Amino acid sequence: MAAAAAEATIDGGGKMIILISADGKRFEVTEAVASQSQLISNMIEDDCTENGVRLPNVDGDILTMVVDYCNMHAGDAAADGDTTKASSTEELKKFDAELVQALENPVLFKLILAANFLNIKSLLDMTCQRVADMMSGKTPEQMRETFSIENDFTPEEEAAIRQENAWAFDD
Amino acid sequence: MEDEATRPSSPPPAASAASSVLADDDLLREILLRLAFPTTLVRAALVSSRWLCLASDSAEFPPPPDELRFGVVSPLLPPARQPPDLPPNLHSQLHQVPNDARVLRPGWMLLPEEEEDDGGDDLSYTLVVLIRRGRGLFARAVLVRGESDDQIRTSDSIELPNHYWPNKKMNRGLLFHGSL
Repeated sequence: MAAAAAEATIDGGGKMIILISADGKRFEVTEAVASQSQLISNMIEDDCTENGVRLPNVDGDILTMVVDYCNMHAGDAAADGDTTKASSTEELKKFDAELVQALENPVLFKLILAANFLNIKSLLDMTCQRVADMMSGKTPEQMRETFSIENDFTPEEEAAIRQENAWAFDD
Repeated sequence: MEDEATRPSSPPPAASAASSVLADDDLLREILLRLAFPTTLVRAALVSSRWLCLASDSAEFPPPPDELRFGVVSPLLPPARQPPDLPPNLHSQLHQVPNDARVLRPGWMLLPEEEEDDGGDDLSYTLVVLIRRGRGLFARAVLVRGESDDQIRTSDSIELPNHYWPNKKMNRGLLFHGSL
């Protein structure tokens, strides 16, 4: 996939940037692809991407997904220049839907952490939405169980909130 | 590290990515903002006290079903829309509290009730007032349907449980039963 990205230099993607994952995998991407990450975009502006960008808290597996996502979406930003290369909106929607549907805990959460760290808003939106969707229809107990969260309400507090909001608890 | 396969990654234990995400207030808020149904949000608020805070803390907190007259109020954040100029008589009603009590916040628009707004009259909304009296915290709902006194109805003050007492930054969430 790094090879596929390298070809992009030909059609004016600009300089190539090397991203290095926590486990040392290297990804070569165009500036246009990489700068969907606000973090990297800022680094490009500050001219500090010369020796590759080390991402010590993003695994190779996760970075592969992030780079795939950014490659697909590079068309969004650069759409006016190169219409043949930019993915069509439908293609993108399909790609996003398939990506996000396939995500399960813990990969989903790792991807959220990566999107947050790299500051890629659209990917963060999409992955947070997926977690929100996973919560619908669940009871508070099921949510605690799914996400390993300890209940720190006293039984009285919990009963009071339930009573005041009984409409939310009728199944 | 030219060879991509030489160093196997050591992924953290499965639970840790989820707990890192959910331990981050901003990320948890991002997720709670995206819940599709008010029901899910209220259920999420019951997961833990921190979730309750963050759920209530959000300016985007969706209004609950109108007919049920339940409200979720965030005392810290400004309302999505300021109510129109308060009629003077409403203003005095809002502050009509015993001498030893004081109004903490003048009021928040809770639910713009546009469905009933047939005549194009903007004055139709519900305010919630927080009142501090001694060590107690009370809330009262004010239903506004027009400018005259008989179109303004004020609920009795409802004492709030102690754990709703706003903390120093007043960002403690508040689930409030606003029935009149």
